[in-house]
Amino acid sequence: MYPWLLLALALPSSAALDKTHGVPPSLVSKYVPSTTGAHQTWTCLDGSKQISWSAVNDDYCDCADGSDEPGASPGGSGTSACPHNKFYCRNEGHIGGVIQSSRVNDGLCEQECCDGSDEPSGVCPNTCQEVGAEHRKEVEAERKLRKTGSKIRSTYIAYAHKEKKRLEALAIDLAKEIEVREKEVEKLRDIAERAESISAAELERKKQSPLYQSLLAHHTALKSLQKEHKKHLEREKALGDILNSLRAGYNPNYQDMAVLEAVRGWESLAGLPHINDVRKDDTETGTATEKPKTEEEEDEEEGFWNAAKIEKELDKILKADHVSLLLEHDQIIGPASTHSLLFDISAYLPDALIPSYHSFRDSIVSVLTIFGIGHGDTRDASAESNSARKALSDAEHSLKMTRDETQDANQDLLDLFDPEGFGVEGEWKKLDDLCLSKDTGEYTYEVCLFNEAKQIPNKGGSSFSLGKFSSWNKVAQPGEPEYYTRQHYTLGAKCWNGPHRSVELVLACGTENALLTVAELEKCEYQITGTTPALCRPLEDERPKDEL
Amino acid sequence: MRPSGFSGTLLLLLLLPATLAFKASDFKTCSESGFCRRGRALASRAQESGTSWNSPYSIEPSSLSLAPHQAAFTADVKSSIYPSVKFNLDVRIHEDGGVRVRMDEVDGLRKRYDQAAQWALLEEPSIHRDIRWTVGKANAKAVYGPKKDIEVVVNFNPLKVTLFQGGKEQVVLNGRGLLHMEHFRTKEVSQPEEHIEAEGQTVLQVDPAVWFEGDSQDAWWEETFSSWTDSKPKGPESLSLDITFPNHAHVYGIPQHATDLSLPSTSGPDARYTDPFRLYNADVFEYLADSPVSLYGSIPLMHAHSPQSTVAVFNALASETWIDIAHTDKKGVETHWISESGILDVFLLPGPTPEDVFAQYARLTGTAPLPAHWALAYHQCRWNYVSSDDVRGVQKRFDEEDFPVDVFWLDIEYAEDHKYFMWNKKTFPDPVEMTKDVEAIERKMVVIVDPHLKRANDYPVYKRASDLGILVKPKSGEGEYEGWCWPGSSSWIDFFHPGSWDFWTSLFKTKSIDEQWSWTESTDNVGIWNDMNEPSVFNGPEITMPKDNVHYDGWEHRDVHNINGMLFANHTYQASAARTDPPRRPFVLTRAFYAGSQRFGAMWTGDNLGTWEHMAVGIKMVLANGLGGMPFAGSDVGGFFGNPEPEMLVRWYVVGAFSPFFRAHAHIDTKRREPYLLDEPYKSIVRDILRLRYSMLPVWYTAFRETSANGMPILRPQYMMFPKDVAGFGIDDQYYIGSSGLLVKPVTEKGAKETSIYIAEDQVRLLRLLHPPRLPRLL
Repeated sequence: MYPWLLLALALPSSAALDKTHGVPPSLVSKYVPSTTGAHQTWTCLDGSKQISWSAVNDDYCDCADGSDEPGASPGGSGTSACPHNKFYCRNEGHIGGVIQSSRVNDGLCEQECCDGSDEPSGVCPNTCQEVGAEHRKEVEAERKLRKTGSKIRSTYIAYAHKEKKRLEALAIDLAKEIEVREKEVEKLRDIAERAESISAAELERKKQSPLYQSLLAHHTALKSLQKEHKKHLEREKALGDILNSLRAGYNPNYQDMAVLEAVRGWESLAGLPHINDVRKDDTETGTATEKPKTEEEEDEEEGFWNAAKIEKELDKILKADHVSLLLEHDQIIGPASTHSLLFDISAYLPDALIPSYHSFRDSIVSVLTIFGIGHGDTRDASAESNSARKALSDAEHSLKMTRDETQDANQDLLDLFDPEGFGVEGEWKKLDDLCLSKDTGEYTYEVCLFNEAKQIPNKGGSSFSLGKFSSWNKVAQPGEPEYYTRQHYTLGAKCWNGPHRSVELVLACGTENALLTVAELEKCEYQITGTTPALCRPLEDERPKDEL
Repeated sequence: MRPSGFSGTLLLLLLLPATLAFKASDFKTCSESGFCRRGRALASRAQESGTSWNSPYSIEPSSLSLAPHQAAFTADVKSSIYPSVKFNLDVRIHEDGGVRVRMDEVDGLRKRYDQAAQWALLEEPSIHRDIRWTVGKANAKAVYGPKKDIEVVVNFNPLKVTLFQGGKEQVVLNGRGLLHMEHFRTKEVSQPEEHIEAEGQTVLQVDPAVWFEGDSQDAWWEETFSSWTDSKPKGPESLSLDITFPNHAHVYGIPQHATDLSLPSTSGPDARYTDPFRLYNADVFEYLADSPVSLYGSIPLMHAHSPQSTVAVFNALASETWIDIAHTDKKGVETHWISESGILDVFLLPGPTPEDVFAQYARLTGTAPLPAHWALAYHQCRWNYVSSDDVRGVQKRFDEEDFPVDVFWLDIEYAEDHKYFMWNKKTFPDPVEMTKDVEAIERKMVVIVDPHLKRANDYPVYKRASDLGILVKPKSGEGEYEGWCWPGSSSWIDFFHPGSWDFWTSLFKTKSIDEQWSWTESTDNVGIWNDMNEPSVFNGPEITMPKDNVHYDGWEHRDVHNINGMLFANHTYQASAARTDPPRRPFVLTRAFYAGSQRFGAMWTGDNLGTWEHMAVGIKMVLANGLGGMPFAGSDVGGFFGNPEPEMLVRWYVVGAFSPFFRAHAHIDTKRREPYLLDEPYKSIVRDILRLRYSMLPVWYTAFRETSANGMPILRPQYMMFPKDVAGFGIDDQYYIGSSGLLVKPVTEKGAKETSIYIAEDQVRLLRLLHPPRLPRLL
C-alpha cells in the first residue's frame, strides 16, 4: 500500500520537471534531444556518453560529469542524484543565481534562489520582485558612487600625466646640467692634479714612519671598536624594546611563569616598578615612556672615559686628519732638512677617509688653517692646492647629486605607468606616501600608502611598524582590477614569540581615501579595509555582467 | 614607488626556549600535598607491618540497628586509637542491588562535608524493601539478586565490607586496613601528656595513635605550596580508604587523565607513574599526553573488569583525591583513595555485566539528555573569530567551498574587556543580526560565558551578583574573593548559593523582564560554552581558588572544589532551557565536570597540543569519559596549541568525525586552519570526512538516544563489546559506535600507510569496515 502511495505522490512533480530546470542560460541550447532511430537521445556535455532524453533530469545520475541532472530534482528523492553539481535559479525579476546541487531540496530556501526553484514548489516563496528591486537599488547606489569616485580618479590620472611631463622636462634639464658639470669636473681635476703632484714623493717617504703606521692601525682598531659598540647599543635597545612591550602586553599572572620571570628580571635590571603594581595603582602612565634607569656607572678608573665622553669625543678622534698630524709632528720633532714643498694635504688622505671627507671638510679646513698660521712657510702652497682640491670635490659632489636626481626621476617615470607600480594609468601616483589612519580606541592604525604601516598606541608609548609596502595582490595578475584591491605591507616589527607584523590592506572604490576597519585575523597579521577613488573605474569600463 | 627594503632597525630573533610546556612546578605532587603524604605514609606503614596490621576501626555490634522495612542498617563505629571519637556507619542496599556505605563522624568538633552525593545523584535512591540483613556475631550479611548469588558481608571487627558474587570477592572496602577518617581536633591539644593523664599510665607511654597515624602531625594546620599558604582552619580531616578488586585484573574510569584506558599501576613494582592518579579539577597549561596528573574534570567512578564479571565503585567525594593503583600478582587490583575532606560515601555497583554497571550508575547520577540534532554536527571554533564580518566571512567560505558545518563559535574576545555577555561593539556592532545570519539556514552559534566576573561596577552581571551577595568569599568569610583571570581582577559567582540560581537564569532571557539587565543581544538558540570552571584562577594556588575560600553555608572551597564546575554548567543548562516555553534542548559545553555532569551537556578534553601523542590520547580520554557516564565528549580537532601539518589535521578530522562531540578549535597564536584553507588533496579529503559525519548523523543520533535511555557509552571500548575476550581488555585505540556494530580505528601515527585492527574471535560476523572514501589517497 505505502509504496504505491509514495509513487503516486512523486509522479506529478517529477513529471512536471522541465528538462532545462536548473540549466544556466548559456547552456540551455545544449539541452535539446537528438533523434537516434526511434527514440530521442541526448549526449552528456562532456561527450562521454549518449543517454535517453528521458534520462535527463530524471533524478538518476547517468553522466560522469553530472550534466544529465542539472535540476538536481527539487521534487525528487531528497538528495541530488549527481553530487558536486551546480544548480541554476532563473530568479525572474532579479538576476540568476547558482548554488551547489547539494543545497537543492534540502528543506532550506537558499538566498541565491529568490524564485524558490531550489525546493519543491510551494515550499519557498518567490521573493524575486523585492529582492530584485533591492538589488537594483544597490546597483544604482554603487553606480553613483563609482561615477563620483571615477571623477576623482580621473584627476589622479591627470596628475600622473602632469607628473610625467614634469619628470620628463626635469630629466632633460638634468641631462644638460650633467653635461655642464662633467666639463667643470674635468677642468678642476686638471688644476688640482698639477698643484698636488709636486711633493707626493716626499710625503710617501714620511708615511713610512712606524709612528704613522701605528697611528693608522690604532685608527682602524678604534673605528672597529666603535662599530661593534654601536651594534651592541642597538641590540641592547632592541632587546629593551622587546622586553618593554612584553612587560606592558603580557597577561599578568597567566600560567606561564617563564614570562613572569622574564618580566620581573627585566624590571629589576631596568629599575622599573612591577607592572602589576603600576596597573593596580591605576597610574596608567604609558610604561614605555618610563625610561629604564641608566645603569650605575661602574667606578670610573682614573682617566678613563665614561659613556657620554666616549660618544662625544670618539668621533672627534676618529675624524682627525693623520696626514696633517704627520706634518705637524715633523715640524715639532725635527727641523725639516729640506724645505718642505707645499702640498695639498687633502690629496693624500688615506683612501678609507675619502668618503667622509665631504662632511668633515669644514673642520679639517679649520684645522689646516690653524696649522697654516703656525707654519707660515708651508701655508700658501698648501692652501692653493687645497682649494683646488676642494673645488674639484665640490664639483664632483654636485655632479653625483645631479646624476642621482636624474636616476630618481627616471625611476619615477618608469614606476608611473607601470602596472606593478602606480598602475597602468598612473592613478596611484597621487596617493604615493599619503597617510591614512583609523582610531580603534586602544590604537591608531596608520598606513602611508606605498610606504609604511604603523600601530600607534593612543595612551602613549612606542609605536610599532606593521610593515613596509612590498606588493600588490599576489593572487592576481598585474593590470587586472583585482590586482589593485590589495596591498601587502610586510616585515614589520617582530612579534614576541610570533611572526613579523604584516598588513593586508583591502581596498574598494569609494569617494574618499579612508581606512574603515582593522582586524588582527591571526597573531600580528592585520587586515585593514579601506576605500579610495583610485579604484573607482569609469562606468564605461564595466563589462556587462548583470545583463547576462 | 618605494619598494620595501630592510629598514635601519636591527631585527633580532629572540631565541627563547621553544618548549613552553607543562609546568610540573605549578601543580602539587603527592609529596607536596600534606594529606596525600599522610595517606601514602599510612599505606607504607601497613605494608611494612604485613599481616600484623589491623584496622583500628570496628563496629559496636550492640549498636547495630536494622531499618524496619528496608534493607538498611546503622551502627556505631569506634576507632581503637581514638576511643572517645564517635563514628556512625549506614549501609543500604538499593532496589537495583547497588550498595551504599556511608560513614561520618558524629558529635565531632565540626561537621564533615556530606553533600557531594546530593549534587551528583539524580535523586535519593530507593532502598530495597525485600532484602533482609542477617546479623551474626561477627558480621551482618545480605544475600540477593535474581540468582541469589550476590552477597554483601559487613564484618564488625575490624570493619570490612565485601561484595561477593557467585562466592567470589568482587569489591572489598578496608580489606587492607587503610580506612582512616581523621576526626576534628583542636589545635591546642598537647600531645602525649593528655593521653597519659587520661590513661593514668607511666610517663614513657607514647601516643597510641602513632603506630597508625605516625608521629609528625604532618601539615595538619597549615600548608604552603610555592608562594601560597593554605590556612586549614579545620585542621586535619582527610579520609583514606582502600578498595580492592581481588578478582579483576583491569580497572578503568576515574576520568580525567591523559593515560591508558586500562589504568596502569601507580605503586608496586610495575608502577608506570610515581604519583597516584589525582582528581582535582585543574587548568593545566599544555598538559602531558601520558601522566596521572589531574586535569579539568573529576569523576570518582572506577570500573573493574574480568571475564567473569564487571563491577564498579562510585566514591562520592568532592575534595582533592589521590588514587593509588597496584595490580597484584593474583590478577587483582588494589586501590587506595586518599581525600582531603568529606564523609565516606561509597556506592558499590554489582554489575555483573558492563551494561548492568552502566545502568546502575545511570540510575544514580542520570544520563546524558538527547542533544539537539545540530549539536552532533560539525562545530567550527577558533580563539577568535574577531568580528561579525569575520564570522560571516568564515560562514561564506564554508558555503562556497561546500563544506558542511552547523555551528560557529565565539571565544572570549567577543566580550568587551572579557565581560561576558557584553559585546565588543567595535568588532561586533550587530551581534543579533550576525547571529541571525548564522541561524538563517538553521545553523547555530555558541558563545562563551566563563565563571569569572570582571570586578567593574559598570558590568551589570558583576554589579548585581555583588549586590546580591552571591560571590565566593575569601578565607575571612567576609566580602568578595578577588582573583586574576582573563578580565584582570575578577570575582566568582558561588553557585552553591541558592540566590545565584534565579539570578543566573534571569541573565539569559533574550527579552528583558522587569527592566533587569539580561542578554537581549542574543537569541534563544545560542549555545553556551562554559570554560575555566575548574575554576581557573591565574594567580591562585595550582591556577585555581585557594582552598580556604568560603562558599555558601560556610563550606570551604576544599570541600566542594570538584563539584564547583558542574554547578556552573548545571545552571547554564537550566538558564538556557528557561529562555523559551516550552524549552528547546539547550547546548552547553563545559571544561570542568563531575559525576552527574552528563545531565548538563558536552565536555571536551581541554587545551590539548597539536601533536600525534595528544591526538592518540584524546581518543582514550573520550573513551574514559564515556565510562565515567559522560559520553558527549571530544577533543579539539587539530590540537588547541600549535600549527598541525596537513596530514595531521586530516587524521585529526577523522578522529573528530568519529567522536561524539566534533569541534575544530585553535589557539589565538595559531595560523588559521579552517578546512577550506587546506591545499588539495587534503581539502577534498576533509570535505569527504565532514560529509561522512553528516551522512552518519542518524547513527550518532541513535547512539545518543540509547545513552539517554540506559547510560551506555556512545564510544564503546573493546572490552565492553567482548567482555570475555581477555586479550581485548587493554585495547583503547579502537572502539565501537553505540550499538551500530561500527568499529572505528583512527590512525594517529605520522606517515602511516597501514594499520591493524584487533578482532575478537567471534567478531567477524559483526564486522563492518568503515573507511572515509577518499582517505586512500593519503596512503
